[in-house]
Amino acid sequence: MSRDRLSTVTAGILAVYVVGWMLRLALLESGPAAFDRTTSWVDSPVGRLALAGALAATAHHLLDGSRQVGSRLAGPGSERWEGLGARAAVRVGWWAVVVPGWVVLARPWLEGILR
Amino acid sequence: MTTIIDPEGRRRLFGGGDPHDGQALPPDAGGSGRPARFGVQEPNPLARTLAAVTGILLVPLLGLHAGTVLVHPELDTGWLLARWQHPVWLFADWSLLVLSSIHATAALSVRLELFPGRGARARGPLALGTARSALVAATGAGLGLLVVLVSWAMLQVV
Repeated sequence: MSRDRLSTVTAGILAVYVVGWMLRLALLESGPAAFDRTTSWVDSPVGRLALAGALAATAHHLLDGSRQVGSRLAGPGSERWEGLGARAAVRVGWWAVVVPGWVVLARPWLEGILR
Repeated sequence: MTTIIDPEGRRRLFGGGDPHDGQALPPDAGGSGRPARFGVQEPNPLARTLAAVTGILLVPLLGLHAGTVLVHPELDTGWLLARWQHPVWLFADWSLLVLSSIHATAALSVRLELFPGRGARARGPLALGTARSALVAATGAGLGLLVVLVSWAMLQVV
């Protein structure tokens, strides 16, 4: 997948997550029970998997956006730095944010399996 | 002043002098991730600036939200209400929604390469430009409506 397409995909996942979060918050008007019904879904393995995906998309989008702003500030001739920034964004995002985040999110599920 | 990209990929300005006139453009001059093309005006600078500024402001807010989800994935009502007793947390959570809505709309208009005035007609059939404008307007209106609904819901429970 090209860098441009990956950026579009992660931005799309993040947009869906934010809209989903807003829809959940909008349920608060109907009372706490309506909101808490969605909580049980989020706490399920599928919900946690979706959260892990959203976390990965967030990390990628934040780092990719920083790379774009940085290369724009650097101006013409910054292709080399842009390439280095893109690789660093993927590596740092993956090892520092995404992998530990997945472990934290999957903890109750893993504990259930290991028990 | 209008910016036009010449066949050699250089920036040409019409209607005013600029120190960058004639300079080679970076591959991603439009911010869309695609190389600059001949005869294409640079994307709407207002939307680009808005997307960049809201994006920078969203970094700490989104980081804070991601951290909250990691620490407390369930986010039940009681926990949220206790958190919103502090106005700073309430404002932070509300700002995340407002800024992300503005960011999504501005970034979408940049990504669809919406240009004001002549640019939209130069890019292709007018109907296509109108459809893109309608898509951005619908996204902005939908997200704006959602933000109003959520703000109302948040005020009801706090």
